[in-house]
Amino acid sequence: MDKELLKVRFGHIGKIFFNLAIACGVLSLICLLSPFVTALYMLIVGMVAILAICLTLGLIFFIAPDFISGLISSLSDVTQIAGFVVKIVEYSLPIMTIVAVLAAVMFIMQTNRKKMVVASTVLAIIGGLTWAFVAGGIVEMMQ
Amino acid sequence: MSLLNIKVRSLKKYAIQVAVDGRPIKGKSDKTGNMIYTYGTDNAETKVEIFNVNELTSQLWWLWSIFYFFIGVFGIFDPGYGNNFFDVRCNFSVDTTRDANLQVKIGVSDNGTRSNVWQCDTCATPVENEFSKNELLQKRIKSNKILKVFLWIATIAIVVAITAIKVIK
Repeated sequence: MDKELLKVRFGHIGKIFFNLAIACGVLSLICLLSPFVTALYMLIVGMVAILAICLTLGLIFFIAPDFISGLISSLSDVTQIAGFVVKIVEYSLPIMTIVAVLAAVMFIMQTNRKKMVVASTVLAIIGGLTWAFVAGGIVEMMQ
Repeated sequence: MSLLNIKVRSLKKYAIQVAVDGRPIKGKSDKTGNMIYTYGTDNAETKVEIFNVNELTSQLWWLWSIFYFFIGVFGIFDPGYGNNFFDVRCNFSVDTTRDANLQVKIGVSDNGTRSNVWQCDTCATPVENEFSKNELLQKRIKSNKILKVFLWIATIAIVVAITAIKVIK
């Protein structure tokens, strides 16, 4: 395949992910600013939980992998909500990672990348988290 | 060795590429959004090619369009192709016996017509300087819009069918 054409296509995919990340970022902001709506409140709880668990996973994964798996299994036994959150994390982690990594990689390949890399990575992570939560929630509901 | 500085001013949607002596080179954007390319050469004459690449020129454009439709969540987040149906072809032969600065403005509008305006402080000969409307691309942009409508109809039909099957069960 023509290298220049491929570069343009990567740029196009990057723009899609960037738009997606912005939309998800805005959605997460709306969720954070509207704590009185029950559904949105659930989203906030879910997002905070995902953030917390992701950070914990990232930090503890190399130190005590048994601890984190034990924590997740004990959490899932406590209440149904906790179990739901854990399942959401289970479904959403791969999607979140793919979205965040792809958005970052696509924008690294852009020509004017310096400012965009930072902005898109931050947005992709925020957006990816929200998007992942929504996608995970949809999968869960469909089951 | 003399330096050839190329400054290209164009809209980002044109996806301009620059090649010197047949090799594509990378540029940097300045504060005003112009692309700056620098190339060192020992040759007395250097060939500069400025051209654009459009995704819709490939034969499998429709397949890519479908792909974008789905990863862009049913086309909602797909930026599309806009009105980018122009062909840009600029070939210059630049005298590089000393440092040279070539400036090219792509698609400058003047009395309703668009063209490329160039300027060079050493001797430069334009072999080709074209900014033209590509009718094939124009047709494909229209086809792409029709394709999206069909994809939307197909998506709605699939969702309705799945819901109907679940309700019946």
